[in-house]
Formats: sequence, structure tokens, C-alpha cells
Amino acid sequence: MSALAKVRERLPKRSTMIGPIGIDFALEAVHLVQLEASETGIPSVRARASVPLDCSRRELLDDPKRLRSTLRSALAGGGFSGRKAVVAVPSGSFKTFSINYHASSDQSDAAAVLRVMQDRLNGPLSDYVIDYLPVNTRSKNNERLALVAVAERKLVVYVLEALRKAGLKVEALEIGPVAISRLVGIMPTEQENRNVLVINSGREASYLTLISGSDLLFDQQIEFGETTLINQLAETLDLPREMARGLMERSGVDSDTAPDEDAGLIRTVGEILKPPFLRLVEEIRRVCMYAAAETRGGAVGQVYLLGSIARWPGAARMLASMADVSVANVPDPLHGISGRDEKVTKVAQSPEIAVATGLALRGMESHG
Amino acid sequence: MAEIDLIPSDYRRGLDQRRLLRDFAIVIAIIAVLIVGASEWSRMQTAEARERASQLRTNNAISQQQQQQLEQLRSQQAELRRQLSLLRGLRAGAAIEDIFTIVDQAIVEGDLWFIDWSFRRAGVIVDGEQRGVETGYFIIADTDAEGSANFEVETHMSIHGQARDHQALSNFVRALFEQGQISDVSVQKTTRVEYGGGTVVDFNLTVVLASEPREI
Repeated sequence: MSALAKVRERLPKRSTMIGPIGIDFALEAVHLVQLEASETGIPSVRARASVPLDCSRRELLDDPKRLRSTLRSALAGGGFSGRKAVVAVPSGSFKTFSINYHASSDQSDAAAVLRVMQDRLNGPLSDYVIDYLPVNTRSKNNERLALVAVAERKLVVYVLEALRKAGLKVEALEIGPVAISRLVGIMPTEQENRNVLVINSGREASYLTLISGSDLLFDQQIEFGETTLINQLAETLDLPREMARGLMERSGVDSDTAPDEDAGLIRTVGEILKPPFLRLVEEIRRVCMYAAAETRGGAVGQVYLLGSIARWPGAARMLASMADVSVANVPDPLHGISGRDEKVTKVAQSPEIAVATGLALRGMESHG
Repeated sequence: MAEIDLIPSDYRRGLDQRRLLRDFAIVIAIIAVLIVGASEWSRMQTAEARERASQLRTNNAISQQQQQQLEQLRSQQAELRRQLSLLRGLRAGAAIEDIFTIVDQAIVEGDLWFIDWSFRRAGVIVDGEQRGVETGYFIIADTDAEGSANFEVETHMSIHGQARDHQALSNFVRALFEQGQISDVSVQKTTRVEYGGGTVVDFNLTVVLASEPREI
């Protein structure tokens, strides 16, 4: 133990532990969440902020000045403490692979994973940053399963430098699915089956994340995005895209709860969107089969919707009826996490901060 | 729970090293600032001490000068006191009326008469030796002489007169000597002169009435 550590041990310990700031660069906004845990171990929300972007995410990351001012404005009024952050690599800037590898006594798991990845990636491994999560539920005949996250080294260093110049001390650079699996891991559930599928829908693509207990089994990008659906709807109904988007966000595909005069239109919308939703249902079924295979017959007990499509009324119900699984919008990410003031709890009802909350939970699970 | 972290290890190491270097640079900068501050403080203290020493030297010089002035003033005071003593001495001595009374008591009527007389006071240095009558008006005190000398103020009365004969003159001188206030009587000159068909003794004598010696 270093002399510094000894001194620190003798110092009176802080009554509350303040976690890192979880930062998620979403397509339309930057979400920040910071948690704190009291001596009792109950985590609470210390601060949260969502700053809408006035440019694209790429432009934001390409402009350190703009990034700095955006982060400063987000950090200024939220009551954030410190500048330690856990940041998610922007979606689209990384890939995940579920790989099987053979472990041997003369080779470490990391080396085995790298050997497998060498065949999967273009160019030398030194061009990439690679990390992996071993899946504990699967280990037979020395064959193991791991979820590997890969990002271009150049891009990662660029993002890290941009964040460093913005005044942040990045403790870890994660990926969204890991943050979501961490968040799902602390959600109270009454089901025995702990296999959960999270569908995080974006504008151009969606991400399916399969979580089994505390293991992240699977993460896959599929060509199913809000833009495709809106375009199809706008073309079919001969509506401007913005109007079609507004209609979906306002009425969605839930004809049961809609006013009578809109019910017909909403049913029509549902019929128009069923074919593309069927593609998503096929993916869900495929994932359910994968989950059954990897978890010795365990079915997917719950599907959570996250992202833009989750904001459409009735989308979860339509998917549930089509896929014959329990589908629901992701619960309030801050459910069970008390807010330290009214301002925090008032705005905590937005599922967009799920990734940022999951990131902020890094290192806080032992207190939860 | 295992975690994913895509921060490259060499980048993190580089950051740590950069942070270490920055901390080191800050420590060095703090030490440099402290050294510069200490040297500046020392320089200021030295300058202040020098200034104080200079001030003390100046004060010392002033003090010495004042000491010299004090000595001069003391010397002047001593000189002035001496002069004051002299002047007091000169102003003192036997009163004129007393002198006349003394002389008058010594005169035998008809045997002796005065033609002219003069009166003066003067100081003499008393060295313990027998001396004659000083006739000068001023005593020049030798201030270069070592030690102090006793200064005596003498009252001289020079008398030019005529006596019926030497016997009368002799009686007069003896009578003068018998007076307590007369310290010396010196007959300067006697000559016989014709007077009214006969001869009388024309004489010049000096009567000295001495005061108490004063230290100068």
C-alpha cells in the first residue's frame, strides 16, 4: 500500500459516494446523468441533463469548441460534481461480435479472443481497440462465448482527445449495450427467466441487445429505423415527412386509445407499418432462438423498447401481438433511484437517458 | 462483473504520464516560485538590513559629530565659566569706601598728604611663589598650561603723595600693614623735594588689597 493510500485510509471517509458522469451522445441530444450513493447504499440521482444538439452528432464531435461549449452548458446547471466521466462510444462508431473461442491452458482468454478477431477484422489489429466480455453461462468443452466490442483506434483516440479538451476525465469508454445491460441488471423483476431483449431504435438502424442475467449475450445492428418507417408512411399517405413524424409521435399505432375520428387513420397506419414491423419481429424471433440455444432453452422473458419507436403510442403493444412475447417500453431508467431534488425527479421520466444512466451506474452497482 | 473499456491502454498510459509530468511540472513550478520568492525575500531583507546598517552608520556619525559638538560646547562652557569667574573676580574685591577708610585710618594728620592716586584691579596667577606687585591692567592666563592655576584678584592703589619726613612715611606704611585687608605695601620711590622753604619727602607707593584666590 502506498503512503498516499495509507493517508487516504486514515482520513474521514465521505458519507456519500459520487459516481462518474454518464454521457451518451445520442443522435439528437447529449444526455448526462450522475448518481450518488449514501452510506445506506441506496443510489440516488445527483444530477441529470439533456442538451439538444443544434447540429449533427458527427459535427459536434468534429468541433472541439462546440463540444466543449455543449458539455459546459450541460454541466453548468445540473449540479454535477467533478469531471470524471464514463462515455459511450457513439452508435455506429463501434461493432460488436459474439464469438466462440477455445480456451487452453497455455493461452490466455484475451489472446484467444484476439486470435479469433484477427480473422474477422480487416487490416492489422493495431488499427483497432478491442475489448470483450466473457459470457459465463456458456462454457462447454473448453469452448467459450464472448461479446467483443471493436472500434477504430483512430476514431476512439479522436473522441477521447475531444472529450479531454472539453475538460472531462474519461474513466472508461463503453458501448451503449453494456450500459443498457447494467441498467436492466438493477431493474426489479418478478420473472424467473432473466433473458431480456432490448430494442434500441434509431433513425436509420436499431440495435438488439440480448441480456441473460448479468451477461450480455448478444448485440446486433439491424436495418430497421424510424426514418424508413416514416418515409414509407409519408409516401403511402402522401404526407410531408414531418407531418407523418408528428402523427406517429402523437397517435402512434394504438387505435384502441385513439379518439374515434382518428381510429380509422391509426388502424390504416398500423396496416401500412406492419410489413416493416414484421422484419423486426423476425429478428426478435431469431434472437429468441439464439437465447434458447445459448441459455439451455431459456426463452426471452421480456422485450424492452427504447429509442424513437418507443415513443410511438401502441408500438410495444403491436410488436407484442405480432411476436407473441411480452414487449414494453423500457421502464423509467431512474425507477427505484431516488432523486435528490424535485427538479431531477420531475424530468426523470424520459427513457432517452437509459444509456447515460447505465453508464453512470458503472462502479456504483456494489452500492445499489 | 466484467466491464468493457475501449480506452487504449497505451493512450491511458500516455495520459497518466502526461498527468504525472504535469504534476511534476507544477511541483517544480511551485518550488521555483518558492525559491524565487525566498531569494526575493532574502534580497529584500538584505537590502533592508543594508539600509538599516547605513542608517545606523549615519546615526553613529551624527552621534559622533554631536559628541564633538558637545565636547566643544563643554569646552566653551568651561571657558565661559572661567571668563565669568574672572569677570566676577574683577567685579569683586574690597569696596572703594573700605579702601579709603583703611587708608584714612593709617594717615596721621599733618604728617602726610596725597597729591595723586589711582586705583585699579587686576588678576594674578598664584603659583605659590613669592612675587612682586603686578602693575599691568590685564592678566593673560596661559590656557595651554597643564593643570589649573589659582587666580587672585588684586586691588592696587597707587598713591603719589608727600610726607613731612621719612619717619611719617614709615609710620604710614606700618599703619597700612597693620590693616587686615592690606596684603602688601610697596614703596616705589621716595625723593626729597623743596616745599615751602623746607623739604618734604615725595613718594610713590602701591597698596595691594588681595582677595581670596579663585580657581580658573
